[in-house]
Amino acid sequence: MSNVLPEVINEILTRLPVKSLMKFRCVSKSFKSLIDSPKFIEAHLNQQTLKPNSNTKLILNAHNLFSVDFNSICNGVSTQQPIELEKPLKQLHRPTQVLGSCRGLFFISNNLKYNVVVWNPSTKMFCRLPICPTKPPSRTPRGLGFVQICGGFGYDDSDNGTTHMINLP
Amino acid sequence: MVKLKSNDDKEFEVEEAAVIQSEMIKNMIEDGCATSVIPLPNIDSKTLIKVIEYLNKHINMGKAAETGEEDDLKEFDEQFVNMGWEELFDVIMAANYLNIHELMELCCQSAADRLKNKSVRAVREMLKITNDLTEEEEQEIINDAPWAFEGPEIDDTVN
Repeated sequence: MSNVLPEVINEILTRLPVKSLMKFRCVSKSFKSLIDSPKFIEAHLNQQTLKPNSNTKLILNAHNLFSVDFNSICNGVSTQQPIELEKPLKQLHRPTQVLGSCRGLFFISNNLKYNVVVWNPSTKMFCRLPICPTKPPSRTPRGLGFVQICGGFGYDDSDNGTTHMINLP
Repeated sequence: MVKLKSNDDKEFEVEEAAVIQSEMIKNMIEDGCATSVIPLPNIDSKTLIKVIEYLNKHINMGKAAETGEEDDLKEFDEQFVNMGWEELFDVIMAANYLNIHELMELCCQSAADRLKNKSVRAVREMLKITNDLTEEEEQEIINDAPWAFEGPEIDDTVN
């Protein structure tokens, strides 16, 4: 067996599930920097979306968040029980709201004034977002006792793949 | 017919329709560089025989879809990747060099399936990678996602 070329390693790793990749970051320095690089993450996402329905999960938003294999409910009969996701911000008395999702990332909150995070359910990593209180325009309609939420979450590929989020309280 | 020569000096004749699945050789033919024998200094005869077997079977890929032979081809592919780890890797390196997209796809997926549940130590050995992380760095990576290092599926064997 000859020495393995980096481009071949790259081809193989894009075909691995996230759990294996999180484990193989520990193989060597070059493996870690390859797996952590935005270019690899992009290639992995593209490769995974090529496989029709193989790994697609549906996220159910009740008081907590649940995941179910898309395939298992395709025929109208669910063969699998939804699995509760271990997520950040889990609190007994506060439901989690999903404010948006994009390219495998979720924008969730259980308290829009204090707790807003971007979360990746596959890597279980999350990032708390800074809250910038802004005064809404005076004519913004408000429900009684509720704060009106306008927010968005999107992907900007012109900016090296940075994910942008706008949240207007 | 196109003549290919392995690095251990064995010559093989392959139909042009089969061999042009290799982008590299297709370009050589188009540029008029394939008039005599094409030497392949990176590929031994054992690996080249496997690659040619694949090319000959996949010669009529388009036709297979029309005549309903897709299942036959799928079965062939499953059997084809049923080889030892080192052998599989030699075919991947050859497919990469010859630029045969479908073969690369098939073999890389098989390699990924075999590596998926392997332990970190097994992967280092299988891919001949020297660990250059310190113990502290390793621990930090494990702390990022301890759940990835646990589970009954983790397999420490090398094959």
